Amino acid sequence: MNKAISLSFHGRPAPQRFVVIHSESPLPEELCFLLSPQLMIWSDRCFIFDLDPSLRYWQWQSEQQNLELFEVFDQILNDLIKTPFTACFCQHPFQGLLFASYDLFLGSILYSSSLAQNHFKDFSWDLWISTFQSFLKKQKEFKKTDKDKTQSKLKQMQRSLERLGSLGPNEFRHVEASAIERRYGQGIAQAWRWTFQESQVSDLPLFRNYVDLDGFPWRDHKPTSPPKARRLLDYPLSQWEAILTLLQEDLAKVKAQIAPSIFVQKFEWHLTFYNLEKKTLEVSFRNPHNLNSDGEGFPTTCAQFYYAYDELCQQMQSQNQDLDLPDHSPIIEWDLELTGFLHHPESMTAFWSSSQKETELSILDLENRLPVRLERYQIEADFLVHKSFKDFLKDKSGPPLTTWQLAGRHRPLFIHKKPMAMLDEPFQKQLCEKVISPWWQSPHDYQHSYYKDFHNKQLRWVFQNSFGEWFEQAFYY
Amino acid sequence: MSENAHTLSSGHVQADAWFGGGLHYGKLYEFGMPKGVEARRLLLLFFKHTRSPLLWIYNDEERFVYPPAWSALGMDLSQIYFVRSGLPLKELRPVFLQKSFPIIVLDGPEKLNKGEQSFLIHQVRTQKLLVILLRHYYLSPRTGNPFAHIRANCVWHKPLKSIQVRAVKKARLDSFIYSFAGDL
Repeated sequence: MNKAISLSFHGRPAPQRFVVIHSESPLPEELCFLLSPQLMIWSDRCFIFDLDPSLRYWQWQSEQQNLELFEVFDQILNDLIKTPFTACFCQHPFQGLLFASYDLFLGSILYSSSLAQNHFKDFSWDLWISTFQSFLKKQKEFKKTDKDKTQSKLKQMQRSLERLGSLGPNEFRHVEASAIERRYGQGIAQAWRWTFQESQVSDLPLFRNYVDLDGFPWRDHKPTSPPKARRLLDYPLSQWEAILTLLQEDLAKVKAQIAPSIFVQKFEWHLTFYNLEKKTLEVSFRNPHNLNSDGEGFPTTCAQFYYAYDELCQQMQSQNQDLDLPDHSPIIEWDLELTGFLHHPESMTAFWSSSQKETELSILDLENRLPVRLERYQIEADFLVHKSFKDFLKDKSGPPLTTWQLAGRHRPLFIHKKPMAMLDEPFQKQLCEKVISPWWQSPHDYQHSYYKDFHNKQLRWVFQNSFGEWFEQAFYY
Repeated sequence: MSENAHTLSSGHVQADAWFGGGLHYGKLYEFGMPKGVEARRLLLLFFKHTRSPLLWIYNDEERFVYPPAWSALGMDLSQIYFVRSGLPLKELRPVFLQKSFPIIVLDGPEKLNKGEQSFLIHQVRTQKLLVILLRHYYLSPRTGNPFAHIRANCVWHKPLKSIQVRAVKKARLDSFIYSFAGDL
């Protein structure tokens, strides 16, 4: 039996979620909705994309092209933007805005890369402060802020830095945001945090936007006249079969309003019920979906509408189950609006399609027809059981994973979500491995000894923690 | 250790012979594999050589897939997809209507009614899918699945540290023993 003893370290950094594109001249209009349905137009020369809704799709594309994700974006942007530009891939929009204020146009650059960090060393205080001031100006457009107070604090900070003879923010990169807040207030401390602190992946998906943006005043750019269809029903409807026929007609109307290069990601379906109650359903697609390639009657699109409608019906039924009311009121009218889409120029679509395998495309399409997401994983370089894998992401640049693969040899195929405490010490056990977790994070329980145990004619995987307590981690399936 | 249009071979002589040259596309197999037997490793012998995407549908709210173990057993993680569903034929019907996944494993689904069984076997035959139905209990010869090409129970053979595969419905051979030694 192999015994692997390891020291493992630190949590996972978040992937580069935002891209800030800045160009010498106004950016082309085709760039809007090219990389993601969610973008913010900072100025006519600077767009900020939130890649979160489309990241999975782009990962697919990079896998098909056998390129890094970053290389795929670089290729697309170089084809589309004819003037010098900087596209900074970063964890927070403010990091990209710093590079947008820089004199040099660097092409595509990863904020976390050594190249970007070398450029960052050249950033002066003037650049950091002017970026922050442009941010404050933008923030004031959206909401009333205590700008004057922040401005005076900023001047105070400038004076201190002049006295210290500091050249740029890089010299202070190890200063904690809390220390900045104590001296210069919350506003400056927040920008400081955005500049330097590496955000971590949030375990709570609903809070992701809140955590990742960390107070940044994000405003979605909406298309000026989104494709839509309105339906006033002659008679109330509640059965899906009856709704479906009319919905298909409305989808055909929406399809007529959009170009073939539009890939749908989100519809909003505003329903009005017989009791005049209004509900809005968000119908999202896991992968950008082309209405033109959907078959007759839009089966893929309608499948997602059905899942959303069915969920709503179940919700309303559970609300009314104790009342002497029908399960839910029938619908009397609806508005259908296309709110999220990607725009791919035709040249790009042809390029993708020609290089993609038919099977891969059909899996993308299949995912759009299912009510749940298909999961794919990859190994993470970590011996700790719950940290040794993550969602699949094509990444050639990571460390070789042979050691971690070997560590999996004696581990089971499925594990319990939470280890279960055992009352007795296992009787027929055999040591597999000892795993040491970061002792500086959990100084008391840092060593787990894993055993195979044969119990009740079943083989299971158990461990003993530093306190001598026993836990069942999995059965061998 | 090969894959052709009709069969999936494991490279394990006894196993291949027992299954009539390997697992056949267009057939449904049913196995009794309770937890704690470690019998799924036998199946991975067949799957690790395939280049086709594979869908593993499992039904357990209380457990995670543990990918490093799959990778250590030779599986290409970029080709294997997982999804959790207790009622796959109802919830994931589109999966069976097209051939995006030529190999599908139904790991511990809830009871399939006759209509679902008929639909499943129809799709298996028309789409030439290879579907493996794994039960978390031992199969009984008294209650059967007439559509399954082979029904077998996998029993942990502790002294030999092996899995014994015993046919529940199969005319030719009764059982064979698959030992882990040498396959790691």
